Amino acid sequence: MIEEGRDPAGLESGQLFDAAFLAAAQRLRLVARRVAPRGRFADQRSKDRGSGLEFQDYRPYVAGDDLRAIDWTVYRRLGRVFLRLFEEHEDLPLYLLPDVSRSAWVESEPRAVPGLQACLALAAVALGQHDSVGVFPFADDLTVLQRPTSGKNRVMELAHRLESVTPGGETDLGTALRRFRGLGLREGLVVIVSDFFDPGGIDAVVEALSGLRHRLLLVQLVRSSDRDPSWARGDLRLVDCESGDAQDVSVTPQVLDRYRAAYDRFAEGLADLARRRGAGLLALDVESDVIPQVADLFENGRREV
Amino acid sequence: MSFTALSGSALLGGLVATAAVLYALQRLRVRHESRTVVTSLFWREATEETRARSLFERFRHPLAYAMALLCAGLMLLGIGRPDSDREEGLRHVLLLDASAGMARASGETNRFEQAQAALAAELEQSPRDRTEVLWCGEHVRTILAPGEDRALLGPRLAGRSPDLAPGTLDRALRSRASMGDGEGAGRRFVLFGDAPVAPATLAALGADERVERAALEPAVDGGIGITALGVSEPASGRWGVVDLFIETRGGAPGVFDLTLTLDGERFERGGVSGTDGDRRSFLISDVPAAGALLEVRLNTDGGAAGAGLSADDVASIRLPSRPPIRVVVDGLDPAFGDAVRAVLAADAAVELVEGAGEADVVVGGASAGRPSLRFPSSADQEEAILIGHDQDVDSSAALSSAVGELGLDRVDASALAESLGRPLAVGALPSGRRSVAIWSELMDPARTSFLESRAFPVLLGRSIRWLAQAPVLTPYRAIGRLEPSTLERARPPLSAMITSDLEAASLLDPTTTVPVTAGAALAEPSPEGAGPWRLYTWILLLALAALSAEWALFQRGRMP
Repeated sequence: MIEEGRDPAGLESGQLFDAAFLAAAQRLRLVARRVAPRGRFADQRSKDRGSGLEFQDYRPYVAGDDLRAIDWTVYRRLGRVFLRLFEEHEDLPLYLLPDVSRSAWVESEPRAVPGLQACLALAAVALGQHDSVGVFPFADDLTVLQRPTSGKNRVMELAHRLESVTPGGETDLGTALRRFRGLGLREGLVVIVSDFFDPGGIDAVVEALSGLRHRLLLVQLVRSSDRDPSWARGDLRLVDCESGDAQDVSVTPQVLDRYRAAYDRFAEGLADLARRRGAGLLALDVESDVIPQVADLFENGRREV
Repeated sequence: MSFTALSGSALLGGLVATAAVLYALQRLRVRHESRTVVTSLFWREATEETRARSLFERFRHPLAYAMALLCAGLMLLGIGRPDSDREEGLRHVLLLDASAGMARASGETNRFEQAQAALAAELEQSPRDRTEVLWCGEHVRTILAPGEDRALLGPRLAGRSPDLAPGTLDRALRSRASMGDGEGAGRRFVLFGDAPVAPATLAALGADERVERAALEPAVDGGIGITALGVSEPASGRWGVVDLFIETRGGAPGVFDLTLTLDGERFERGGVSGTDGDRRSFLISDVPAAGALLEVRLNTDGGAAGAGLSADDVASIRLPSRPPIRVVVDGLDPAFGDAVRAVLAADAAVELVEGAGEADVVVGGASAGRPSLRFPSSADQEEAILIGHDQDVDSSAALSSAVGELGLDRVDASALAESLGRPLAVGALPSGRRSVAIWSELMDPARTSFLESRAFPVLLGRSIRWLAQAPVLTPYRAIGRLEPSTLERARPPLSAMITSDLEAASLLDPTTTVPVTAGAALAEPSPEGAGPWRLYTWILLLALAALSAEWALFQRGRMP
């Protein structure tokens, strides 16, 4: 429900974070299929072979290899020298991009709150796995709320930072991501938490994401009334909360059908984008608990992205 | 119920038209409720396909339509100014006194302005389709007919001032009363002015008719003015002079003085010849009758002439021009020729001349195209006395007037008939020039004694004057009193013209000069139903309440 004339406001202290929330988040584990080669050691498995604990493969010995890695059992059985290869564990940079545009704040129950809670849950999991986490809220531009950092004890600090986020203006995903690319961060997992209501429609979203080199997780903040506006009846002058554009609508069943069709096209376009990019897509219902929905993102407590 | 501002049919038509217009607007209008949404992206796509608007939407919000119709209907009803049925069908005749007396100052305004204000107030209370307004000035005419918008009255009265004429309220009332009502619903006459109404006029009204007089400020007493002015034959008997008669009303002795001028030259007058209450008569003898303009001006001490009414402070009259009548006598029978010559020679008005070319009247002989007094034989003329009068005068009327004007009433006709042994007849016929023809037998001293009678010189002298068309003297000219009959003007006017025509006397009627409440006492208009809380006031307040209720419902979102 939109509250007329309501100005976006920041979050109150403690509105995002509590012990139960963090405990639930600890059960989650992000698993990357592949991480960048230059990260420091962490819990994330890498396709690079290294000195980890988990065996991955054998390869013939070549001069200069570490003799400690020779599998003498194989040598006794086959008479040939093989090295045992172990999985290299490195960190996965997690870049959280929460949408703080005006559309996320104008409702009586702002969808920005569950969006930031989702960010905090993902960040808590990553920090618990020694991964680095950066937070970059965006609206019509991108701001650096938290540069990539790691450490389990930074969860509280990050929570406080998220609570100090400043509501923004109009959604402009293209500008925000151009700014993000300009930061020159190493490749990692980009999580965009937004309603994706860009004035340019799904085409603008697709174009904005086209140049992003990072792996991608899209968290779409949805509400049941987005697709089924039961409040709409009669003759309405609908004012866009971000652009201020007014649209006169005489609501009839036919108009509602066309509205739902337009929304479905938008949602389908977003899902298609995720498929083509190999990205994850989570439709987060802002009217339900966040943690269970984030947990569903992972299969048996693990999720490969 | 009746309506003072609109006719019933106009109101009904207006209601129907308003309902139709509101219905159309209700069908056409789209009143949008403003809502803020997270995004208008999908709504824009949903409406792009049906952007073209249809002229007619489905009829919606019937309660809103009913409310709007209620508000509009009440306002229209209020504008129509409904009145109660208490006097259904009664016709209202409002008479505005525009006589000269209404120009009298009264306070900071004059009586006429006060009457106009009272008239406007009364008009607001009267039903439009049954009210007419009459202007009662020099002439009575309608200035606002039934059904006409009362707003027209202001422009029609703008710049108007009372006519310099006596009051005509009584005459207008009698005229309207004689015309009858026509519908039988009764009439109400309301007078706005001071002119009196005779009790006989009120008595002539029907049982369902009544007369009221609007209350104005009390009239100021003490008016002084000239009420009569005229000239008459001089008592001295001289020709070429007249006696002047002046009458004034009001004022105490010594309060005013009269100044007379003849063609601008001061002319000394005589004293008061008679008084009757506040009426004073002045008789000035032997004023030269040479066609000069005589002006009489009334002067009062302190300059308060006429107590605020200046129209009756000055009167003027063109004195008659009475030069000697040139008469030529020729061809008379010796039996009565000397007697005729002797009478003419003794007449101060007659100058005997020799040539017919210089004469104004020819006596005896050939007329030579001039008015003539002839004495034909009874064998040549059937009537004993035959008058040839102007062709534009009816013979009967001319003969009737001639009886007195020529002195025929003084002739002992029966004695003459007996002397002649035959009946005498008097006749009149139109002619190109005036003439009087008398049987010569009547003049024969051997057969009648007419030459010896007193009637002979009278008949001869008056015939000469009538033939010469000597100016007729008006003994006096006074408003409200009839003039004596004359041969030229058989029917005297009811009032004298009071205009810039200097040849007429500028006189007003006595009741104008002295503002007295003459005539019958009249009731004032009933104040019942007046005041700010009339029926239409309540209706307009109800309309206002309905509008407020609609606004409140709209503000609370209960009214689309």
